Amino acid sequence: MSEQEFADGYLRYVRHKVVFISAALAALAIAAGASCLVDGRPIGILDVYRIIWEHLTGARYEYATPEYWDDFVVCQMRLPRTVLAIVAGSSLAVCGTVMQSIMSNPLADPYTTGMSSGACLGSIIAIAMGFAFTGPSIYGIVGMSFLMALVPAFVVILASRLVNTSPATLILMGTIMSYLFSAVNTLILVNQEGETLSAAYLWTIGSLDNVIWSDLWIPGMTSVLGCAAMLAMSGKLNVMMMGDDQARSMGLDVDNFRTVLLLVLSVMVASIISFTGILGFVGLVAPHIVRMAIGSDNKFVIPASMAFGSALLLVTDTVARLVVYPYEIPVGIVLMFIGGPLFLYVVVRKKGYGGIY
Amino acid sequence: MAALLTAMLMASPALGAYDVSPGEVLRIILSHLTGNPPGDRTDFVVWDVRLTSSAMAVITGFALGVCGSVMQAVMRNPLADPYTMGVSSGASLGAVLSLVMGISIIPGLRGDASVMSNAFLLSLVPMAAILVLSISRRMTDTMMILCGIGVMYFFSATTSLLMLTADPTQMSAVYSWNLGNIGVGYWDNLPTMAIPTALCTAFLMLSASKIDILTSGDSLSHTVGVDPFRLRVVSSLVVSVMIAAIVSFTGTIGFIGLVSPHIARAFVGSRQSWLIPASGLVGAAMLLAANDAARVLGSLPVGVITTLVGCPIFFALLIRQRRSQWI
Repeated sequence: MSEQEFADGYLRYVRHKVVFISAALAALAIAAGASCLVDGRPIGILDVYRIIWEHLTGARYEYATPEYWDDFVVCQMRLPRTVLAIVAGSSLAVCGTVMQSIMSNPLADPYTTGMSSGACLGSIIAIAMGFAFTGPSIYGIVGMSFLMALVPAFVVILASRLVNTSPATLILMGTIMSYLFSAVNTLILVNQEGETLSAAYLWTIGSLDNVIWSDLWIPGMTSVLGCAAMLAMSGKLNVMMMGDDQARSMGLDVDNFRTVLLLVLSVMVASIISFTGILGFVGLVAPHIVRMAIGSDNKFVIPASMAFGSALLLVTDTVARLVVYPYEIPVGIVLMFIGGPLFLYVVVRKKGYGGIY
Repeated sequence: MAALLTAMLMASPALGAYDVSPGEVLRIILSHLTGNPPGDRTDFVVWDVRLTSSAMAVITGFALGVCGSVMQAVMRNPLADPYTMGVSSGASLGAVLSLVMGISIIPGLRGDASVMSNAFLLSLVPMAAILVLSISRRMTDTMMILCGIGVMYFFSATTSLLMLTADPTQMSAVYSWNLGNIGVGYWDNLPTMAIPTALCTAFLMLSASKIDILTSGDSLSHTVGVDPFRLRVVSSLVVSVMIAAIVSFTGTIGFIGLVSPHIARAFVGSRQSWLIPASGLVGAAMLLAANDAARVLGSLPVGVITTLVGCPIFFALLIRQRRSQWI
């Protein structure tokens, strides 16, 4: 093969993936616009983009004019939710991709390994007991979620160092841990009143309800930083996917690398979950669909699953709001309906990369 | 074992917020048995509240223990249990479907009958899925459990969806029911739970020797004339009936079925004709103890206690199993 053909081949290889990523981004943009259409005031989809653009370029309107209300509704009431969906979706999808690579386990995902439940328990402990390290502020809640999300992460690390665990065993451990967490959860919540309980229950299912701009910067910052870090690591993640021995022979400190990455992932998961509740399966569904389309090179899978995960969460959230309009069902349930069957499919299909068993 | 259980059953009404001495408990139970109930307040607490709850715990624990032991043998899987295989989640979806939405899958039934038939039919789904998949390809035991978990995700999503439509004031009850709650029993409920449990246990005891053969491998059981597939299907059906009868009253109680066969096996070995009753008794004793603990700690759902105890044991089993390469 001449050098020219080789270069052409690589270009084709890249072009295919770039096309997919652009398509996912376009879908994301449309979904973002669409998600701003739901609720009350009728504003067309093109108007939504125009209003956001004008808001960004600094247009200000006089109080109580129709333009003012359009601007207010879109930018203050609807956009935070959309942005949170994008942030949470991309961040959870990246977490899923990375976990699947570093554990060489196609079933890994913040939810199936128990990290989400841990983070959720942490938030509930912080809220219900007023107990947190930096006082009962939002940082305390995030910090507590982070600490509890570390528990499953460390069990995973210990298990992979001490006993020769198969991927299936890891998932079983994760599932058992989430049972345990939900039992502790009940212990804490059992003496609360009906309304608190009902709110907490909704929260363990996960929804993107009631977001304001000032909430967004913690999840936003951690996801941007975390996703950037993971993108920078994508070469090493590719090496990890070949298995521990191979990676070691190529000069990667496998155990420490895995530990550091899991720490970063715990921060990302905790900062998302403490705002949204448990959103399961985004990290499972997005990377798998992306890999079906463009293969498993992490340099492309990570950005593609970011775009795809955000679009997925936006679409499911919009669906969840429309199904029983004007009420809404928590988006976590819709995700479970998609994620459960996909989980089964991954378990029973004959051949996977690496293989589960 | 049976003696210990009886003693615990006698002692358990004595525990709880309202003080009653064990001697008094015994006196009240005897007076009921001889036909002249005293009818005062202590009597009400002991006979109508605590004893019914304990009796429910015993029946539930027994049924779960028996189911766990049979499922572990039939699936040849030390991690099998009505909870991990998704049977309980199916049954609880069926029960919720009937309790909250008033939908009966078999038309024309109402009340308990519809709750139970729904629970039974839906509890068959995960087992059927696992059985069908295990014919079409060789499944390892962890894979079966993962399938159960996958089905459970789906069912619990549906269950939560239905629960959201429930009355917010019912939420607390529904929430604790989801985690398994024995709470206050009623004498009227007991026969509906006890009769299916007794019949199914009797049936499983009769086929105990066949199940023993099945544990030594499919090909071996073919050579001695036991059709492994048919036995699996039949015993899964029986187990589902039992679980449906239990779950529709108590909600999903986890891990009793997983743990009690392992404890019983340490004492009586793994012959099913001994293991089934022994595991049932261990399960009954454990759930009774858990129920007492839950009541003493302040009316917790008993599922919380069993999960807190059962999870570490599951972990230990999982790790030991990897070490010994049981699969």
